Amino acid sequence: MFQDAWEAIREVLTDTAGDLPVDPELQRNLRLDDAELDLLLVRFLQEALFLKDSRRAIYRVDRIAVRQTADGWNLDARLSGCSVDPGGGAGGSDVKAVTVDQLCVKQSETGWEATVVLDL
Amino acid sequence: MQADPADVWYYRRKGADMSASGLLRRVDSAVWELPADSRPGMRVPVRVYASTSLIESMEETVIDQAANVACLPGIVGYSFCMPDGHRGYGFPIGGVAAFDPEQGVISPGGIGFDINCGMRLIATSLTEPQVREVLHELIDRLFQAIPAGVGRSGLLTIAPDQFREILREGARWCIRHGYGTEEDAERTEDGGALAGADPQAVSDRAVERGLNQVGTLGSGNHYLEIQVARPENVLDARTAEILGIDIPHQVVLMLHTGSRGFGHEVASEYLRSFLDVMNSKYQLGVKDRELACAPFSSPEGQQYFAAMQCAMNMAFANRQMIMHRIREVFSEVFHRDPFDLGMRQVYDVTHNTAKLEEHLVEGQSRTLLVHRKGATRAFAPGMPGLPERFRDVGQPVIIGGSMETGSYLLTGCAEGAATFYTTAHGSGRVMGRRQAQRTFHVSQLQRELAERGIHVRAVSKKVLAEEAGGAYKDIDEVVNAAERGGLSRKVARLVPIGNIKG
Repeated sequence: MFQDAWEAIREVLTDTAGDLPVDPELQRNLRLDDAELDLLLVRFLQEALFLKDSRRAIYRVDRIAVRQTADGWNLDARLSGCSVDPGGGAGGSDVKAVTVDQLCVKQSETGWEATVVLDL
Repeated sequence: MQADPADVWYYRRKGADMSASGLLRRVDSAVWELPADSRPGMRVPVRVYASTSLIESMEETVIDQAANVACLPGIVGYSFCMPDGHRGYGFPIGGVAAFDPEQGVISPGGIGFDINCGMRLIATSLTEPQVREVLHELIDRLFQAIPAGVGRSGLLTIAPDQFREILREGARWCIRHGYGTEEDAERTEDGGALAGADPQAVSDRAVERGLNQVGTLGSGNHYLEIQVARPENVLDARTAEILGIDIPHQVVLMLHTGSRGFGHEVASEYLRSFLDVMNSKYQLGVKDRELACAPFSSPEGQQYFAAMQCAMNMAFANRQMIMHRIREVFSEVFHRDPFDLGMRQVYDVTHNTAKLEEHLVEGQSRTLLVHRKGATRAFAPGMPGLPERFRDVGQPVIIGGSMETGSYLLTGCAEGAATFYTTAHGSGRVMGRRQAQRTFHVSQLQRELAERGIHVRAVSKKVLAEEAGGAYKDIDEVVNAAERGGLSRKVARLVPIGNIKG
């Protein structure tokens, strides 16, 4: 679910659903924790926006593990990125923020589902 | 006495159709009220400024959101919604609320993620025929010169310490470095620099996110537009002349952008930190997590206020740098100094803010923290805080419309005291972006724009459909409602001839 949500943001930012050419130098490890699972998802997705602006790169999630702990939840992820075209940008719509409006993460019979509203 | 049915508007709430809790009553020709006893927890009534057709087309969620704002501690007077109000996060877009600084709260959701998103209007001494001759070249060169879209680098290459100077000095940093004039700052709300900005209240992560973004337009509804003030659209010639609109068919430029990723990061980080403390430390219950808040007088509230002012200054600097580049492009195309081309700033307004201001409440002067989210301050003639040149006419107000329909220059007026001197900020959306993509066809839209003499360049074609005129309320209806409600007075209608979008 976390990976799918990240992919959804990536599609908005780039206007493409397919794989982007990965720059081997743009690899990152990410570790986050939060008391609430839904707020952990928001923080995770905000990382995509932070990297888009600070590194001028669009990242994908290579692997991710989300765990429940005594204090809440944490995640470890491996990301790899693709530099944004310096002349034309990433080609999609900019996302200002990942909001907590209507935020919902729940487990259903078929797996985990999340509703996240983006501010464009 | 039975109310005239035309003066009562019911809005449908889930499971409570036509109930007393869903009743808005007209209290003036363009003012509607939801009484404070309509919902549990409301401390003040809601007041919506709108014509009948605007209120009928307003989403029900807007009223719900304004009612939620009315429940926040320390709110004074009313929870307002402007004529362009539409659904936001926490507060509605077009939401205005003033809070007592001692008893009240500050909420990032009352300001918006794009802190100091705002409008800048730049006059020229050029006329429409002169610009028409080179319109395509101008738009193409502006499109190349001003970074727009996702992930583009800005017009400045600076170190983190210099960025922090910008957070403290705003547009004045740019002027100090040769990217503008002192008059530009005088013609900017708050002189282009908020004195309470403290870069220490801003995280390194926010600095890192904004470092490369000074002088970027962004995407979505952010734009740069070439417009014309045609004689038939100059509605108050005397005021227009004082503001610098004084030539028949005069060309002006309108710029809409904000604090970019930096402001988004500041808002997101503080919203998250307020969620941590508002219940556990301050026992503040809110009806929507996007209304996360902290007491204004608390350490958390004061820190956010200082960080928010940094983002305001970043946005003033952003618009200043873009204006500098616009002047350079016009100078290159017309082979004349930009000031020989009359390229003087008319005014720069912010429409996503919270500010401490003095207002009369029940005959007493009080300091209030006024949140304006998608709403423009509109000081009346003679008010303190206005530059001398605007003392007689009131604060200029810039309300941007869609790329198809036109925009307005207005001024504040004395009757605006009712809303803490606040008016609308734009057209206001009537449909979401996805619905607009399904409704409008890009190629047809481009053809229609071309037939009407409007040349548009956009990074993404999709954004053209999202920003189609039909996706927005009727701008004339919005400004007329604002005028009828006593919020602002029309000066000139400005029609687009060229537009660049991210």
